[in-house]
Amino acid sequence: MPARGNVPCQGVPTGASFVKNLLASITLRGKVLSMPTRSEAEEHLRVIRTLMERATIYRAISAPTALVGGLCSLLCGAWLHFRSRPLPPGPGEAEFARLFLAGWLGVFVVTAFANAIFIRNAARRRNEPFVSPSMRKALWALFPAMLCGAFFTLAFTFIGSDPARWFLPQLWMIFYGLALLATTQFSPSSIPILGWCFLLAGLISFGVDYRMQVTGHFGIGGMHRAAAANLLMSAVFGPFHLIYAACTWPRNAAQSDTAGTP
Amino acid sequence: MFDFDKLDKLIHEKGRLGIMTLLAARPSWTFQDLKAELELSDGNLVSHLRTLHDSGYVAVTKEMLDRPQTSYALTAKGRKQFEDYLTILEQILKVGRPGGDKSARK
Repeated sequence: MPARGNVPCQGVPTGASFVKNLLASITLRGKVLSMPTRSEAEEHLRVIRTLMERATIYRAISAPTALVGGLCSLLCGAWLHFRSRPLPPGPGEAEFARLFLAGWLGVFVVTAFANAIFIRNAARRRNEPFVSPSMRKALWALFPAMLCGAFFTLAFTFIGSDPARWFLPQLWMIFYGLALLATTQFSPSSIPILGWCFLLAGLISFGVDYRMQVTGHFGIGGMHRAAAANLLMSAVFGPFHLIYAACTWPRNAAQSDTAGTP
Repeated sequence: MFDFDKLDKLIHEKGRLGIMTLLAARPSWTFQDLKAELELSDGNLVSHLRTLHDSGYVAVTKEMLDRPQTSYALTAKGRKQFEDYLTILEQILKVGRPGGDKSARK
């Protein structure tokens, strides 16, 4: 039986090999400790996602779209105004209401179509999909106010009385303004400014319109409510969009790339 | 098997990670916008930006508009490093996930 204590244990390193093993062990422990854990990686990815979402700018209306919308509004307003002047009462007014709706819905469709084309072109330049996550986010933000606008348009057109119908311009302004304001979190500052302008214009004109109705101003001196509604539409949707286009028109290539989408 | 050493320590620091993320999200940021978004002190932000600039990750543009303005943007190298960093973070998540990338665990 070998005497205990006098024989070195096998497998226990001595001298230089011990130091070498110790250093390797320390290095390995250091590596393991400095290795990011799963929760740390998750936390970093969460920070990245949050910052990315906050930083992503989406311009729901580009300057070229605003130019198209502004010009179409002025043209549509002028066409309706001169085509139906002087506005005949009775059946003539019903005909004007149909033209009014068709004309202004046409402006909306043309402008939305132009916007889609500008966004698609910008996305192509950047090799990005047309329907980007930012676009989806913007559409969801715009949706509730636009839905309300569509609902009241249908309600006032088909079941509303004639006086109620001519409140549509104010409602369109208010809901359009609210839709733009809903994108504030990820829009450049010009979009909420435009939103506030439309919202205030809608509220003020609603008050003025109501006051004029109560005091019986319409029908005096050739002033007709339907014609006033048309003039209000072209006076607000036209200049507001043209001013916005002038202020936000891209001055260089980098800006023009960000005009449609993030 | 992936190498944790590839994880860019320069980006891994939280302040610099924030800067790189914001620069990856938008083409260009002014100093003031970065400061407002990240809520860092001037000194801290300058220090991080200088580190990133010295490493070639961030390009600096100084303009004279109505007042002097410094803008920052990611360089191609910076964008590549940021994308690699994200890839490695995702791999770390896979390693910890049951049924994740088994080759990474070996």
